[in-house]
Amino acid sequence: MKAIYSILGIVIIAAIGFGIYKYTTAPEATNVTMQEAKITDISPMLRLCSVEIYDDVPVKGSIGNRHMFARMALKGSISFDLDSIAMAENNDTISVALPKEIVDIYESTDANSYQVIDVWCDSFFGNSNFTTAEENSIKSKVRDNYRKEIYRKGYVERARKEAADNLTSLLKGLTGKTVIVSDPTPQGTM
Amino acid sequence: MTISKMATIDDIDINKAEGMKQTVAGLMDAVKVGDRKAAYSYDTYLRAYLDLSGLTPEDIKVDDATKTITLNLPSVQTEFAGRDLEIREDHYRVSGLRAHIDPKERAEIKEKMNTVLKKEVEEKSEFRSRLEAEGRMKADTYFKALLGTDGYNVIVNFK
Repeated sequence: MKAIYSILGIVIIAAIGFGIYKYTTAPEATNVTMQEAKITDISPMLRLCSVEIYDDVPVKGSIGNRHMFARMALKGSISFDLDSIAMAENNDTISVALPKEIVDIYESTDANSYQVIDVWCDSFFGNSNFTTAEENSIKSKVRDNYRKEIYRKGYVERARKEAADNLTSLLKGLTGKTVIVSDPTPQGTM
Repeated sequence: MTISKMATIDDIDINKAEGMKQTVAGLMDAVKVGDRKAAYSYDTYLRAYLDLSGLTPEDIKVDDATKTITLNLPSVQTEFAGRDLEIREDHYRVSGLRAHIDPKERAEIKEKMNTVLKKEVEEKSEFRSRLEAEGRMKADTYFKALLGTDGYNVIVNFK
């Protein structure tokens, strides 16, 4: 009798173990289906990129009595459209006017670039959810504020100065001529 | 280059479930009251660039006899410039007693989409090769216009 119980116990444990093994090695259950990535646009443009920006910013927003807090890794650049640079050549001198800067601010594509830390409501039984549109509006404000910060901190001014220096060495190196780069707006225009 | 990625959220179909985890999840979804379906998409930007910091005087050869300028540029590289901060909600229908899709879940979905998209770009050469070709063409046109004055013929090579 004892032997039968022992065998039964071993069989049950083996069955449970097999079940756990099958469960843990089974394909993950996910309710998310990915569609294939599609190229929607290729814009051929030539830009001189003088400053790249990487930053981790807090995303704080409130709508009514609902609040959210997240962190976002931003990646940006300050560049200049080379096709729209006005160039004039006079004998052995090239005169160039630096155009308006292009400030791009994106979310980084590195892992975990956007993490929602907390979402809450002031009232205990209230709904704390944010719709996609509401969340997008909060993120959009974060981007606008960050753009102002870039100008305020002098990144654009620095980028314009570096662009002028880079353009001078590039054109001088390529053409062998004297290059004069003028900057009508040294601090940039937002 | 703008690359669009879309993902859909839906309950697991028991008939298509593979393995125990999906079957259990499918069964649990089947007993829930209501539907939970959504589709999200966003754009990621891939750019081509030339790093001209390593350009030396040896990379520019001027032959006055044949009126030819040969320019040796570095190879065109590609990198991810970034992705849109906002996510587009292409479809949203949550009914019955189902939980709404909240910011945390959207962030997780975006993270999964990002991982899959980067893997797709690595595995399918068409993304990068098409962009590199465009980059070479653009650089070729620009430098030929810049240097091709006074009757000089410009040859642009990429290392």
